[in-house]
Amino acid sequence: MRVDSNTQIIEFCHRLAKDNELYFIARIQSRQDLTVTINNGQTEDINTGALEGIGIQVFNQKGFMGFAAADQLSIEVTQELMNKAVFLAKQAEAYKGESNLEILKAPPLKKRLEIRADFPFDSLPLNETEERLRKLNQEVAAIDGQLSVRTLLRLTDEEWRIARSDGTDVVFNTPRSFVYHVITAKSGSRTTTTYANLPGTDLRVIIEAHYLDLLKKRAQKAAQLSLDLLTAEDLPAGNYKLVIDYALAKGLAHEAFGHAAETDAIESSILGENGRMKTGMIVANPKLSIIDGPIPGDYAYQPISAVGIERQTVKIVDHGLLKAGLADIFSATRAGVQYTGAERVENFYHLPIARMSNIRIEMDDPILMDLPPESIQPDHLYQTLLENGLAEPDEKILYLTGFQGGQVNPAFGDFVFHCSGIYQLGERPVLYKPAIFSGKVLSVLKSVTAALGPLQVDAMGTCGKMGQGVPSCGGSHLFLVIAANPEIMIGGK
Amino acid sequence: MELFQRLSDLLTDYSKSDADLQDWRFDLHEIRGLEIGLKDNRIGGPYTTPTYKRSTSGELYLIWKDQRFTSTKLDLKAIEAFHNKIGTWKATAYHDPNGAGLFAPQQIPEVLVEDNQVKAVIGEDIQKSFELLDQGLKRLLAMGLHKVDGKLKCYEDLRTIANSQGFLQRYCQTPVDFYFEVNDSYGSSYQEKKWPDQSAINRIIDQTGRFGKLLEKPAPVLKSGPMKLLFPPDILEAFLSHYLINNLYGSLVVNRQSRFTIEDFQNKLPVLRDDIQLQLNNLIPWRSFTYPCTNEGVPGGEIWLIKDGCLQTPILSVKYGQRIGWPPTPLPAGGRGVFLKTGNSLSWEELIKTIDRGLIVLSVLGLHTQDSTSGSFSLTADQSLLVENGQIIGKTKAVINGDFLNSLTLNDSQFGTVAGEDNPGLVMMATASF
Repeated sequence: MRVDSNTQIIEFCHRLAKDNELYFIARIQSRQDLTVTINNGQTEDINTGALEGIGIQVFNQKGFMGFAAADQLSIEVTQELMNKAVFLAKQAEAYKGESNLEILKAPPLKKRLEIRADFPFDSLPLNETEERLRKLNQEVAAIDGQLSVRTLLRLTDEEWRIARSDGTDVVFNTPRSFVYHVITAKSGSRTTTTYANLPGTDLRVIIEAHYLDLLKKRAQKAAQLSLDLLTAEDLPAGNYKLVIDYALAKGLAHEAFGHAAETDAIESSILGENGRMKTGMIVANPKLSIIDGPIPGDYAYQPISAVGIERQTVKIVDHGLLKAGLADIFSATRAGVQYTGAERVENFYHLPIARMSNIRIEMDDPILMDLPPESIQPDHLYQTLLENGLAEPDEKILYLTGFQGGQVNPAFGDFVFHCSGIYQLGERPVLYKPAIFSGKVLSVLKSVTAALGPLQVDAMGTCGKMGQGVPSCGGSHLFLVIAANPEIMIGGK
Repeated sequence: MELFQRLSDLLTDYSKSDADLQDWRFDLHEIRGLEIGLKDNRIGGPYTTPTYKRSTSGELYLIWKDQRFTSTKLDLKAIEAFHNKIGTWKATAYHDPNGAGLFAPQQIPEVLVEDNQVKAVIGEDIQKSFELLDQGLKRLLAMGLHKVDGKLKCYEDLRTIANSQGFLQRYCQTPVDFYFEVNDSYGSSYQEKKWPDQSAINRIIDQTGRFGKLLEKPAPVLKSGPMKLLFPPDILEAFLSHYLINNLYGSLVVNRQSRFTIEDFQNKLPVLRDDIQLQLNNLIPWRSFTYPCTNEGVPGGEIWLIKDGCLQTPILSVKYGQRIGWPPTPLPAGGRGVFLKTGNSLSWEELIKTIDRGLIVLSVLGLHTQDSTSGSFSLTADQSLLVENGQIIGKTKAVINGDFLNSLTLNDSQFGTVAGEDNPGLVMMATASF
């Protein structure tokens, strides 16, 4: 890998840190990106980019810290950054900043993890990549004359090397890719927008038949929804019995629980008390578990943490009980939980903070469903609910589909996420405009009563926290059933 | 030799050896800066470590024969390894029959965007940054607030915009950004291109403390139904950016991905109430959105996007200006620098006194998830203040639903001016569920 060539810089960091009686963490990143944008059949932009540099965080003997980063890799720049970081640590001490020496507890690690792409950047000539993407774009636009479609392909070839004073030296890569359709339907003064996407690790997302078929089905479903929404009405706001799809379930796990379980904010999190995580608390139905951890080939794959420790797969909720946090080295002890290697950074300019990777909700005894989610229509879903005693005839149940992002305030336990559309289920389902799903962290999971279908954990997104955006992913069984709850509100007129 | 000169020379020399390269332009930023944070009442901990950053970034745009174009991000390595990179850039060129050539501006305005105090803080006067955070921490704790977070960022950015036809614009800008947030409930921020004076620091600290205290007192639970929503200027700006400005970009208008069409602009379609104007202005000294020209060399300026409620022009890059045969426009920097102006308006405080019952919305969860083309919103207003009979009663939370763009067409909607703010506050009817 490209970062293998930076051994001299790492050795130089060791020498400088020893001379200054400091502990250091150095993060070297090398990233290459390709983005192709097709807009209504025409190439809008092909953009290439590269990012390479180093960030050095130092800890003096009292635990005061300084950090310096630059997009240059050389001995001279390393010297300059180390000097700056040392100076800033002294300033932090002089101004009575916060000290933290938990990093000294981290076990040393030497490891090399390389994912080799089957379809790397250069496996297709660029004009063929462009042509394939144009065809995908035109296929969606051809569904209906009211549609306009913007299609984006992004390939990221990212490598990391992380070293520490204790001899840790890890090298790994996190390749990723996605194709993303933004589908807008327009009729008179009404305009609606929906999305379809497909994540992966390389160019396979536009080469392999399986991926192309999947993307096509997702795009058809999103395009039809966008068209149908042109005549949809507002739903009355209220508390309803719900069925959500796996992408929204990812939003539920991520917004309702994942962020609140990140221990760097446990002092103010609804899942903490006096700075300690309230493990052992009942937070969900006893059949429900929430798991976060890296999955090879996943869009949010992160096998090694940003301080150079192997990331663990964590059962945050185990059969209804809060069991563990997503813990970074600096806050795990204070929060009273096991350290899990949850640190991530957007790039070498950033400081590590606790983050999710792939987060999913798993339920015991899910109802079997044979069809892939792209083929399941609301009427079929309704029949399955009836057949399995999960719905009474004439019962009012809403089916929320398509994840459009979410947000949480972990201190108050309020979270929201947004869907693409809402169906009132019945023999003839009625489509309503999308509305916000608003809930409370401590009560929502207790209302999840059943799951349908196998696990599907490829709902992708970008998660923003403290000014850093990192890839996120996750899901659940194809559908989750949520009982009506006064603390779960669906917005509307 | 300066970096921009090296890059110019490399491109000029290359174009002499390869006649396919017809023109070029670049936008180069050489940046260094400082960041310090405050979390859980502590300055400079593991998540807010005092930080120094240095970077070279920007974009390079190459115009090849036969309407082929290359767009690439610039970094130091790309310049140092120019001869290796140029082959890749040529190979990744794409055909765009609507692609734009270079823009030749008449004149670039001079604007103030540089402050030597900021440069000093990044260098020898670093104590000022610690003192600013320390001041906010101590004063907010003294007001009785239990948790204070914050961050200060200040940068020195040497920007060079140049092209193959001799255009060269080079200037230094010094953006400063700091905020305080209390009790995880309310925060306010400063974003300018100069170091804040004490009155600006006082304004941010006092506002944060005042609203933080108001949010400590709970209001009684209300019945769901129609309700007046009061959007202070920062919330109005967030809604304007998401629902209105996003729909004014030429690329979306031309590609039928906006709420508005080209014909709507050609016909100067009325879309807002006839006393509402929307102006873009990026020439105000030392503001965060101020700049002399865009990355394409289009001069900054003052333009009407909406006048007397009617659409005037989309926000146009050179390419989309050419597509519809209109001149390119300045661009909002980070969605800011857009001013909503109305005829009659009371002061915000006076307006609050006229409200029988309403919610002052201080924060919303989920705005970024909303479909900006639809104009309607469905959000959680997680930090809100109930107003009854003109008095602020206390904190509440609601799911709010309404149509923001439609509200700007209604006579019932009202605006209130706030001293020191670019935009007014808005009072509109919506529904709130508790």
